[in-house]
Amino acid sequence: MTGDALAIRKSARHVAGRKDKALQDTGREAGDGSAHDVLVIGSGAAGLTAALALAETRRVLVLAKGSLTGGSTAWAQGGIAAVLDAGDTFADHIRDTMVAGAGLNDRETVEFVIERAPASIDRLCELGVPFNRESGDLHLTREGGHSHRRIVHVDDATGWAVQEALLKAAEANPNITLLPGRTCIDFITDRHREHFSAAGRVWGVYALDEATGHVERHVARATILATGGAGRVYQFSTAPRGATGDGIAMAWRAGARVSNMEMMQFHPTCLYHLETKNFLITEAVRGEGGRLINPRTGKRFMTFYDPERMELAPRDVVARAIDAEIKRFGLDYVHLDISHEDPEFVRGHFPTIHEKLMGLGIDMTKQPIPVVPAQHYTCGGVVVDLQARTDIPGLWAAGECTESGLHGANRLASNSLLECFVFGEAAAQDILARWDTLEAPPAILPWDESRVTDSDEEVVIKQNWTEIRRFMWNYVGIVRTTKRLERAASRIELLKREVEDYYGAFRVTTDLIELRNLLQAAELIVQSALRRKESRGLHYTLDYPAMADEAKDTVLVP
Amino acid sequence: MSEQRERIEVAIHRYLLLFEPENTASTLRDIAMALDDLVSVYFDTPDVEPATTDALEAPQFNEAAFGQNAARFFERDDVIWLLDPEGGPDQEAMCTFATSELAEIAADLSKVVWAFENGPEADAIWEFRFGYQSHWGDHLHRVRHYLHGLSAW
Repeated sequence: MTGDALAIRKSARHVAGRKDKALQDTGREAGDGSAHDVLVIGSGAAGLTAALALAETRRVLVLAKGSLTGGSTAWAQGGIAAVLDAGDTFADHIRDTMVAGAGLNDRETVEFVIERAPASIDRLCELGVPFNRESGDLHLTREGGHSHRRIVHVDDATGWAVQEALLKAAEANPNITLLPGRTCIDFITDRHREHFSAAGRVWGVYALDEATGHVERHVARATILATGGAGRVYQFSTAPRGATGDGIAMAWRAGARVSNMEMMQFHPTCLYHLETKNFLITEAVRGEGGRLINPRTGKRFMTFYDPERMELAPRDVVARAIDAEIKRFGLDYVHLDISHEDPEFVRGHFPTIHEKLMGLGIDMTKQPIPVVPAQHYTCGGVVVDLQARTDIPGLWAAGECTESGLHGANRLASNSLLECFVFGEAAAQDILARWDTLEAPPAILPWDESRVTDSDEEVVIKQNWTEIRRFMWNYVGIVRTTKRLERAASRIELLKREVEDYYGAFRVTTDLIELRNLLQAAELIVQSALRRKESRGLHYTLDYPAMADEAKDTVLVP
Repeated sequence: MSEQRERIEVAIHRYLLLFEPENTASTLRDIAMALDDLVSVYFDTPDVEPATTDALEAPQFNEAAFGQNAARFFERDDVIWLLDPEGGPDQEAMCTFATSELAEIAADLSKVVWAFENGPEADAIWEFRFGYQSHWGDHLHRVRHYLHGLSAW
């Protein structure tokens, strides 16, 4: 965009009904650190697991953007993988995880997580998660990539049941304060002390109270980041609205290394519907005979991509095939058709999907389902060790915002919630073990609001958001090339400059904070993708289609 | 010159020429038709791989001059009211201006013309498609809808 055009673009005005954003003292600021011992950012599985473990002896403040149940945990349909069956072994679960991760996993991390899985399930049972049972024993199901039955689940809504149980326990704990409606802006570090220091330790976070527009300081001896992934950087994503890479971007800006951000998992078949976003059509539809059809040619196109396995090819192969058809023919979607099967069979096997689609006017027993691939999981993130420590003193991290070494180049189904429990617990135990060495927070400067005014640029923020998500989908999606990545990088650079202008000039809003973080996440994804000179797991580039002999993490250093 | 390049350049020039000061006979209907033509050409242009990774260093687009020339098409104001399709019934209205939208399109398309004249054809075609998908296409559809509302052609 030219500077002149930019000037015009900035002339767009948000003219009606501006909310009063006068400062309000919420009384929640804790500049002296006296209010809480530990700050947890994020109220999903990782954050609440850590909070509950810490709250046995410490006072914990949990901040959540939007509602307490707005994160990815509640959306998880699958289950939690753990070795619980007599015929199963840790070695098998480890091998399955490493195979899925295309050798990029850190074996020590994989062992660490998988060996702790049964204990994590025990804790969830104690919290009252109503896992499906059979004759009193936990019912174990099997998913793609697993060599044994090892997935505990609560029907097809495990995430919601887990979220509910964790939240209920947290609400009942007097040592935990839950504070929803807080959009975190940036970490409070030594640079924000009243007596400046460049040491870089994290002391908490500046967060926007979404209701008042006031920026608060929240400080503590330790901070745990559990903010989820960056799925919303893509036009099509199964991630919730708030998955804008906030934690990853904040940690990067504060000086933490970020790794393997090019490893974005795409689910092959998400419903394409203008009103209903994020609805997955399970792979079982293909497993039970569903055919992928090009709506323009009418041809069953998997014939051209994987003639032996057809629709049962691995997830990444099917996703690439659909992506190729969409790009080649300029389609909005492809068709997933199971209407050739007996209607009773279809209704009986897929009651939830059938009911949902009927509500949208699609009868899958008679007509094809429009589907597109959609971003599903962020495998990369902030680098953490086995204690969930980041590079930055005072900051721990757990869950989808991290790169612990568990997932490698592709995530094995039902390992993601497991990672949240194990690393949430690990962060809590490490903080408790080191408690005596953690200093009380120093005096912290308040957020500087003196030079900012209300932004009238809401329309521009929304335009930029749309632009990022579209070009990331088109040029940094399932199939990549170096030239497209380079061009996407140029575009990001332009937008970053524009957004930093807004950020420096206007009072912050959730939309602006998210846009800034979304752009940062997009840049990290593109830079990581450019550095990987091979195709491995979820990263596929036409310029380097072969996998290198040696698996190496892509590590970005701020 | 390839047929594809010719089609793109013709469509772009058709649009840009409407705003030349001497072209006093052009109307909103002409703008609408030129926009439709651009969309048509976009959909007929196959995806290409860019030939280089070079950033475009096209000269600055003269927004002020364009704004003056575009203003004559709108008798009173040119406010376009906007609602977020996912924003629900209680959202606050936002607005932009038709001249701003037209200028955004013109700025991007001027870059495409420059790219054709100063670099590989594939880069220019890529820029044309990329811009439609990620930027000027949005502006086009917004202003096209607005123009349709103004005129019952």
